[in-house]
Amino acid sequence: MTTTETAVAAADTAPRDTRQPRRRRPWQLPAARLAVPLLALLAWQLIDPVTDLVPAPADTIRELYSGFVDGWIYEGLRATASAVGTGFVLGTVVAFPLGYLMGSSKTLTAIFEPLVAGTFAVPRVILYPILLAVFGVGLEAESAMVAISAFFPILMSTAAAVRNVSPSLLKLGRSLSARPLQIARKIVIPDAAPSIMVGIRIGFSIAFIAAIIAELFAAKDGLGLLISQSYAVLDLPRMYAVVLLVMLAAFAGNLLLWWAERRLRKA
Amino acid sequence: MLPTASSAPGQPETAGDRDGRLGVRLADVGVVYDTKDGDSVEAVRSASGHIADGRFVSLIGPSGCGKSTLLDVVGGLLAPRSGTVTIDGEPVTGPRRDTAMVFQEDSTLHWRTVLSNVAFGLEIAGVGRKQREAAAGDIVALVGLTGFEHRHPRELSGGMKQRVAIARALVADPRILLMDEPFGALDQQTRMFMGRELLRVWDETRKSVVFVTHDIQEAVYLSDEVWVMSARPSEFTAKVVVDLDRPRGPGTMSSRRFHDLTSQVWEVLRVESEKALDAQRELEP
Repeated sequence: MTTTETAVAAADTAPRDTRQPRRRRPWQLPAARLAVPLLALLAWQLIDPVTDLVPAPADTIRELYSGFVDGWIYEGLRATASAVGTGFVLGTVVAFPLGYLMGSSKTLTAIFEPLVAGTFAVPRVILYPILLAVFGVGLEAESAMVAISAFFPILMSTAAAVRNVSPSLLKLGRSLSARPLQIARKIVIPDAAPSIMVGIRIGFSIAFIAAIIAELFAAKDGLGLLISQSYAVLDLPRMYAVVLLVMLAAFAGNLLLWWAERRLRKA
Repeated sequence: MLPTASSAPGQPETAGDRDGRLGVRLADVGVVYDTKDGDSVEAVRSASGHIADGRFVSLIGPSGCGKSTLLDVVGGLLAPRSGTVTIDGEPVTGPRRDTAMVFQEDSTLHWRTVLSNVAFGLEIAGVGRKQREAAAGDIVALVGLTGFEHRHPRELSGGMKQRVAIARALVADPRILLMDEPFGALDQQTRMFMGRELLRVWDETRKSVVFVTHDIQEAVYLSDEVWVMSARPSEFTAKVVVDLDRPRGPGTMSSRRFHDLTSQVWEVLRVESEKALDAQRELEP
């Protein structure tokens, strides 16, 4: 470690700095990735004795473990997962074709762009009371909340991605007399896929946030509900345990999408 | 050594075309297009000419004179406001199977391999995989990309990407190749090399070529005829017949005749470019 540091320092002060890109050893990146959460865990452990409001990491992890062994966490986990899953899929299925249409028509963009951008700024959570009134407390209202939240980033990024498809590729399609469906499948979607996937990943993250926030307000089940319940009785280890699980779940979900995106890009 | 499958038998010979019906014919073509601000611009006023079957014709003119616009009209991507374009006597009403285009910008499909890029036109036309990959393989060899069939465009240089674009245009065996500054984005050395390669491929396939460029030497070196366009709204102000021997090679460019022809083109072009510059100055406040 110190040798590389001195090497870097020496290179920095060298009079004729040719800036050879420093070769990274294969283990360095994974090690750094692992080091960051470990450092966070260490910081957490250090804060613990200072305040009563933070349980020790060990207590939190033990509580999370008990959640799986004793089973109190499953119902909430299942409820949140199905709300996120249903809502996210629903939001994507609606947002993607609409975004595609918007991106391929200047007129539609001119009409809807300001509306969508404006609506995007409205906190979606204010719609939750309305959804509760329509659907009642439960999976339906929550999924609708998630769907609406995922809808906007996916719509906007799909529209932008489709709009930015290279004009010469579109010209190529026209010069080959490609049918609209062929142009969509063989030119526009593959060319726009990386940007669309970014929107879908952002949509997923926002979907997850929406589900937890909705559950904090009103829900029959869910991780958000578990957090607010344990907060109400100041069962801090349990509250932290659920928060930790939410973070891990969101992380895992995003990792899965990231992996899918890389697979798609290679295909 | 090189496949000659693309020079399909049964193609009409130029010699048999006594009435000049074959080939591309422009008759008083005028093109007007609308800008984003709602103005309409008269790009081409009246362009007439005949590109006989198998001829290599370059269009050259001051920048913004409507060369590319005219090429789009021949390719059926843009309808003329007035006049007609006919190919073998048939009016052009849209993109046709017997014309193929090559663009200046990189138009390779970056998610596809070279082979699948080259086969793309056939895929769109509904040709089965085996057949189109066999055809693409032949053309890949013709344009000198053997060994790169399974590479992706990001692994290729700019010149090689344009080879892919040329191969893609050739694969469906079109009669007419429409090239819109295909080497415009390449550096000078690659450009000259690609010109030579294009002539080699053209020699083996004998397509009619309409080649848009702003490079006089390139135009003279490649073509049978160089058509000089005027400033916008444009028409053809001169058609220079290039009587240099073929096959052309490094010696061509150092010949006396080559210099005479390039200066002849430049004389016409210089006048038109000055007009175009003056027009631009007038637009500026």
